[in-house]
Amino acid sequence: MEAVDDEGGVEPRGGALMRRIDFGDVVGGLLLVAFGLWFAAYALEHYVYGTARRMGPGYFPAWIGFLVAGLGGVIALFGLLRTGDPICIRLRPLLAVIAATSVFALTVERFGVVPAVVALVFTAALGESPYRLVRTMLLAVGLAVLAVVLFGWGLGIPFQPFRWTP
Amino acid sequence: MSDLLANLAMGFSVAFSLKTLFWCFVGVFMGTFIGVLPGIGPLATISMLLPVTFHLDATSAIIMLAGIYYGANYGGSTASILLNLPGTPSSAVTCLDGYPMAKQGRAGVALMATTLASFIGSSIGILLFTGFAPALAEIGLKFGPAEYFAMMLLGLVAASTVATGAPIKGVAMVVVGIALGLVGTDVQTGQQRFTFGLLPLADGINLVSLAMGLFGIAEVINSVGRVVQQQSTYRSSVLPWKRDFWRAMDPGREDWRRIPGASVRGSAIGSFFGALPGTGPTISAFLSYALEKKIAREPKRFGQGAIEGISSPEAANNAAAQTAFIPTLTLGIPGDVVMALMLGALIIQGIQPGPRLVSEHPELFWGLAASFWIGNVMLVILNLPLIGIWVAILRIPYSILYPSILVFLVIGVYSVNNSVFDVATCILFGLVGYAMTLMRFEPAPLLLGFVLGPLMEEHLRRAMLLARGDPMVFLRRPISATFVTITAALLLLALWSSLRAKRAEGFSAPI
Repeated sequence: MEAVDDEGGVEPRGGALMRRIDFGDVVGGLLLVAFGLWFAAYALEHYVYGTARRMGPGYFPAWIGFLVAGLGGVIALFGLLRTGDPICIRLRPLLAVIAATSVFALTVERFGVVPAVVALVFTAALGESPYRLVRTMLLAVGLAVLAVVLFGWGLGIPFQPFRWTP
Repeated sequence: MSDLLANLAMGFSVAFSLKTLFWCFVGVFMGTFIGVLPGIGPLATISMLLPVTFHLDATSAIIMLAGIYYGANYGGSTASILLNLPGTPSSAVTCLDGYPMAKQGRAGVALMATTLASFIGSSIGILLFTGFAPALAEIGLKFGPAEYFAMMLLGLVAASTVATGAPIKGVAMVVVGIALGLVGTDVQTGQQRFTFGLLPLADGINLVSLAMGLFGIAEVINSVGRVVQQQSTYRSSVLPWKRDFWRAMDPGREDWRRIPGASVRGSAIGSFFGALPGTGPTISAFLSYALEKKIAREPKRFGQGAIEGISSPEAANNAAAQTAFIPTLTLGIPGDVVMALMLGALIIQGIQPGPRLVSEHPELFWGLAASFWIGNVMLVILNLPLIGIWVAILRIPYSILYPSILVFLVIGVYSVNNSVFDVATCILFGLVGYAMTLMRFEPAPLLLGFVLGPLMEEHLRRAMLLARGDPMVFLRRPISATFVTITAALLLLALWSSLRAKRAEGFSAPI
């Protein structure tokens, strides 16, 4: 896929700083440090460490955690030393996709697969403008039918097209 | 020799059963389909179809997944030639000479040449697969836990450093993947690790949720609102060959002579780099293009529609797609992330890829080998006489495509265990994957680490137990020492190139 320019992207404040250092590497690296240290600490606290000869369930995770933290530190350090592109978050597609999939997750057990699919398609279509109502409706119905036929009948997955347990 | 023939005959009897034929067809059809479509690659598709494979037997499952993988290479070249947009990263180099050919009205010739070259490349790759895989498995049988640990280490480091823009970030992602792979019940002690009392996590993080989140959801978020522009470029390449179909595909005598040589050279490069960890179809395609340009009598023709410039890379990426299965199936070491998914699919089916696979599941191994041939013949038919279908598919707007992708994605995840928890995990990893794309961290090495992590821990513990806790065992045994040395060299190289890089390199290949 060719990445076209980020029209409509939201550039957060602090753009100047973000250009002077490699912001993505610094933030990502620091997140890795935090995750790695937490992972190692959690393993050391909750699981038996053992010895090199007889490793307990905490041995390997602890070292993996420290390794993640170390690598994250190196990445963050290098990121401070060079310039990088600013990060542009495109909020609209992000929110639309997350909302659409979450709506499916919240409705599928209560109302069944067909309403969940329809809700997903209508929510997902918010990701692009203009909102094409007719096209979205046709697509929602088509995909709901396809889902039931392919997954339900074709593969014999026992899920219910409709149900009512709000 | 007679053994090989007997095995192949058995393989074909498996592959020609109606059920296997059907799933092989589904695989290569889907592969071509998503290969043609820019913006969705084999990785996302294989993750999407992973849940489907749980309802099949192991042989049909792997045959279908493999079909997607090598089918995507055929389809990818179609988009490269007609649109100047690679459908898959491995077909990117085909744009260079394929699109100029299309502009000169030789699109039919280009499609003919790439299909032919793809078939030659695949055939050579399959021959090597059937020849070398059993031999490699014999060697693999002699490996102990130390060798396995060192080999997995090398595989992971190579896959995350060799072909990526930022090697050290690749290594970091591998280790994060290993960490995520440790979630669940510890095999040796039964201890629940990082499950936080959540019952669904006792079996570990669901591979399907992880893969679909990282590659499916994240990729859709990234593409919405961006892929629109591509449709408008299409009209310039109206197909000229409606009436004189075959004549439009005839390259002419001079070019006929150039295709076989270029294809064989491309196949050689592809076969070699396909089997190595870390390098795969994409690198093979680029290398073979460079080679053709170097040895050509008139290098100037390249970039203006040289037929070698499309035949050789297409042969290379197809050969590589076939030989990539050699280390995956015989040693259990996936060379790239697609292979890691195949490995994961097999493990879920209860089959441990490794040196015993060929002898313990001969029907799977030889059936797969035979299905490669059948699948490639299907692909030739799908890609030449039926090319019109794929061109029509290029017109599907993304505003229809992405809600459909999302629907199949969530239903796929949901259907594995009928579990909303899995869908929620998938959404969470979608967010993580999108954040990673923003910060230019690649998700592929993470998945590789996730699949191999638990195996690595097991081999490490076993090796250390046998060596009475002495870590020098990895340097004392010659084979493992070799692997460790190469790994160390790769890591130093990665550190060096990270230090030198003044600017972060964006890595934007479709997955």
